[in-house]
Amino acid sequence: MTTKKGLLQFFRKPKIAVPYLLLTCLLTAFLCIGFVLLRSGTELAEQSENAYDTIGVAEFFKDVPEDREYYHLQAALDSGRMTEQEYQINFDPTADPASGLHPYPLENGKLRYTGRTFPCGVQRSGFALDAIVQSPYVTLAENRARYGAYINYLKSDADHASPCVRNDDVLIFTPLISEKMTMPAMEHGETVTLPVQIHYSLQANLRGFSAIYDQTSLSVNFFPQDSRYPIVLEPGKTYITFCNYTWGAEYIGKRDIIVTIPHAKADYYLLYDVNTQADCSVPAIANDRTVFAEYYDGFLETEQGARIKAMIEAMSMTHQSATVMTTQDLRLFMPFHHGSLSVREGRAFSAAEYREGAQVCLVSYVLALRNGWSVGDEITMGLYPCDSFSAYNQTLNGMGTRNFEPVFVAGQSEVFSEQTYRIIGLYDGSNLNDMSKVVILEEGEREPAADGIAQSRFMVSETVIFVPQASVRNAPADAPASFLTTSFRLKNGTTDLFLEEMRQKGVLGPSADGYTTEFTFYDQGYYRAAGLLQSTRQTARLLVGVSLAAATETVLLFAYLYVARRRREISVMRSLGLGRGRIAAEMLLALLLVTGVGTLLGCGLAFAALGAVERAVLSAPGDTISAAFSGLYGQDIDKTALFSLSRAPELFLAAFGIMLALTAVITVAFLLATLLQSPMKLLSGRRE
Amino acid sequence: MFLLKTAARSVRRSPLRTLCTVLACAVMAAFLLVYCHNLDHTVKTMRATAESIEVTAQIDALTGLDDPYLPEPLLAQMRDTGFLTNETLKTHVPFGFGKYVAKRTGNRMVALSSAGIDRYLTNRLDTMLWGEGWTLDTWLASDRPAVLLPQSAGYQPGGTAELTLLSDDREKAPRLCVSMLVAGVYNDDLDDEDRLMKARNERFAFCPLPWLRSQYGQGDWVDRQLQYRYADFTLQNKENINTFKTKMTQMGFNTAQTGLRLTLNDHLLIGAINPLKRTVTLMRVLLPVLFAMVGLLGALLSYLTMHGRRRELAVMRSMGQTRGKAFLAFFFEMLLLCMAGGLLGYLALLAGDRGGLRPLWPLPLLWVCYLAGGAIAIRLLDRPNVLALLRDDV
Repeated sequence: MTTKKGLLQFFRKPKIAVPYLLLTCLLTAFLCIGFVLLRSGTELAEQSENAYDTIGVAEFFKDVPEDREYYHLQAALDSGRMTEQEYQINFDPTADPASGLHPYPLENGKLRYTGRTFPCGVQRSGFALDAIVQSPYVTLAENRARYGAYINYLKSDADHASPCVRNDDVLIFTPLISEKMTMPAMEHGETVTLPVQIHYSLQANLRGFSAIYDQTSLSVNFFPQDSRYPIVLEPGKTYITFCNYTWGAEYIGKRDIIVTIPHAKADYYLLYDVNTQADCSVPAIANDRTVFAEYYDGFLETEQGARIKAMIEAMSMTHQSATVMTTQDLRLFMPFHHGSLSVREGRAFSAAEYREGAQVCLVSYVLALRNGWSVGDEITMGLYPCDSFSAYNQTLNGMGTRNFEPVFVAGQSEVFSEQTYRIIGLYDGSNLNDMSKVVILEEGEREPAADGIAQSRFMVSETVIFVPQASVRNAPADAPASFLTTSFRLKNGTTDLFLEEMRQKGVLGPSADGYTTEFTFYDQGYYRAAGLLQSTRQTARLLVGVSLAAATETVLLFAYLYVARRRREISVMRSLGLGRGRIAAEMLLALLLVTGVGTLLGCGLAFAALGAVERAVLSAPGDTISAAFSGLYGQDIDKTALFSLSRAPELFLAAFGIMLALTAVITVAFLLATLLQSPMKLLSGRRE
Repeated sequence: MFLLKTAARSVRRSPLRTLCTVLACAVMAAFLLVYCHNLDHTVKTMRATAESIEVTAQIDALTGLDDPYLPEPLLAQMRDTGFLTNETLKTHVPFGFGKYVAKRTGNRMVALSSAGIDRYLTNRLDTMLWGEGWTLDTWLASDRPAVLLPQSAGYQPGGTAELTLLSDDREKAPRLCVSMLVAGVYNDDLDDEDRLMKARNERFAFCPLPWLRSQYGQGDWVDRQLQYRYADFTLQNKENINTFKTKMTQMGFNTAQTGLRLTLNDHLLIGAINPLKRTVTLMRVLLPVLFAMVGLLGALLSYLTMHGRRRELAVMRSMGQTRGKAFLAFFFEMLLLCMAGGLLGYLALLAGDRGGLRPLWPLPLLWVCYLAGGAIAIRLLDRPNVLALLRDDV
């Protein structure tokens, strides 16, 4: 009843009621748009800010011997190619202290290094990521594991492959000689022409080069491992040997190639794992000196032959191996983060594939071309542990970092899982074996001089296949940490805080076990854009503040006018005996009802208007940067194309509530001020 | 003057109403000013952010299996777009010592725009014996036939070398016999790679890119084109990168027409700029809507304010004022209030540390909207006769 009377009174003057209804409607729409603008503006600014990705890369340094000879000697001792006794006779300084040629005394099977050392980037086993993972500034951290992946009939790029794949071979041949030949050790490059008939070549079998079987002679550099025992060839006998070509096997018959028989691998290239203090350059013939022997039917079944057979199988596995690298997020890997590697065809992993460990993989464009693979194809891989990372230093490693060369070690490596993966994307980019980009760190060099150089340290072999970390079954527990494998994502703008935290936790800097841990951060220039983007968000908040003030002020003005114009009515009602409460309720309820209707209309108007605006924004031609020519990840293209204006119900509800509350509070305040005055005073007062 | 005085008196007569009206105008003005400032600021942020992001372009062979062959005229077309800056270029041609060059020689004369892009040369710079007056920088910029040769070739720095170059390594190409000044000699017995190269009978020589470029299109190579085998660029004017992409499409990149693949490292640019571009579009689309709403709000407010002044209007008319004069008296009053409100809003924002508040054009626009609404309200209320107005039953 009260409400009805109030409404009748309100609409008695439609020239005021209708404009007020319109006013409420407009104010609500105004507020709704303000809220939506704030929400969408903030979301878009965040989206823009989130495009920047800050990652940190952990690096480990250790003072290591700089004399290559030390590694050779230790490797020979480790592999059994040289006994301790032989070392003591030929190299031990205590045997001939005056010579000064052999500086390293042998103590308990290990050489005691007495020369100069230098800080070298190394791999670190057993490094706990916990301190990094637990940091409040870190959103994701990982140690990417690397495994050898045997793929039947894999064709890799021989020129970029490990020398043991490219230039080594196992030959079974018969020397076409009429009398016995004794071949002493030759100088480097010195050769003898040996007429031969070749019965078997591992390289020819693996890679389909049949030219070697047409060879009637070989230029051989005989190089027995022990110069005291020359190689003896007898007429009519067949021999099996592990050998090395000066050129790849594919050049046989096309160029003059010297064959070193038998091949002493460690003297040619050395991969010394600083972390384990072991040589990992001769895994295929680990602890086996029998690389030249007479061959006869059933030889491979003998004890000596079985070792060579295992070696052949290991070489065969190695030759057909790629490297699998596991990841929880490709963008944590520096080349993808930098953009120098990107997905050329197909797409990258989705969040669900990472989470569920889907059997999907990304292979390089070049590897796919060589093997006739395309997106959607399936490849079966036999995974075996292989993390032959060594110090990334030119002095120690000769031509390159060789961080992606899996080697199947005879008698040691074992396939722990055979899995079939579906190719979902092909990656490509400038870090892919682009030798023009490679800069190898020299001794003592730690800090990258420029982004480009830092980037070049991450040269990736085209044989690397990326898979989600959770997809690998029966995986070995611990993946060693290194600059290639250990990285983490930080919240943008928190690098200083993170560093301080790591300093306090004792992670940063030298540790008791001789390693020095350092972090390098890559923020894609976020520090330059951060201030700009933050100020955009501040301005968006200010806009809503001002729109709220505008609504309040408008309601204030109307409430003042509304109450002021009803002063005479109020005084009459008071004079007729109506209570203050009833008068206030009558007027307030009517006003709130009308405001409610106006507000609802305003919400509807805003909803419709914002829908039209969204369509207009989406149809703006040429507005956003197109993805043409972009080195993007598959899913990123979709992300950037997404746009929706947030028309969330809570925003409209908030506008509705605020309008009603403002009207109620302000009107009540004015009503109270008016009702407290006497009717006579109200009647004598000036009318608005 | 009389009308202004009347208006001023009316303003003073009801301080609360005046305050409310001025405040309403102030916040509406402030809203529009902040909105336009926000738009302006976002555009500037977008431009500054775009400029702060480095975007590089790299040319590869479409097949992905070989170095690209980027012909000079195509590069010139790319340059004409005005987007390229910081070019890094490299090319190489077969060469031989003396007057002879083998058909399938492994010798390569490498011409490059900066030493850093060639790992082989970079690793040997420390071993370089420079001829008198030559440094890396002077050599790179030189347009003279100055060559860097390996020690094993047997030349001395400062001497001359008779070399023969082929213009192309893909087809039968005319030879160019040239006497080159030996600007430097480097150690080519440094590591395993050198040993491997020697075994393959391969050698690298290096010459300045400007000199090699100048050999094409004249003399023996009059009809030959320089082909770059490595090219990357930094882009400028990134806000308008779509224009560059359109032109590259027209030029035939990433198709068999050129056999070349262009890759832009612009994922960060897309990720960071596209949302800002959306924000700008959104604000631009909303701007007229909001102006219309604020204008309408102003008009409604001024109408409601005027509606309570009908009796004053009636008295003025009965006192002999013409409709025009009465209109102007009220109009000036509104003018005073809304201008004061607008300025108050502007000053409040200035005081609130929005010192660089620009642009100011929303202010007069708001005044126009508000006054137009007020004028319509006065004209509407002015129509009934004076007696009816005085009866106060309308």
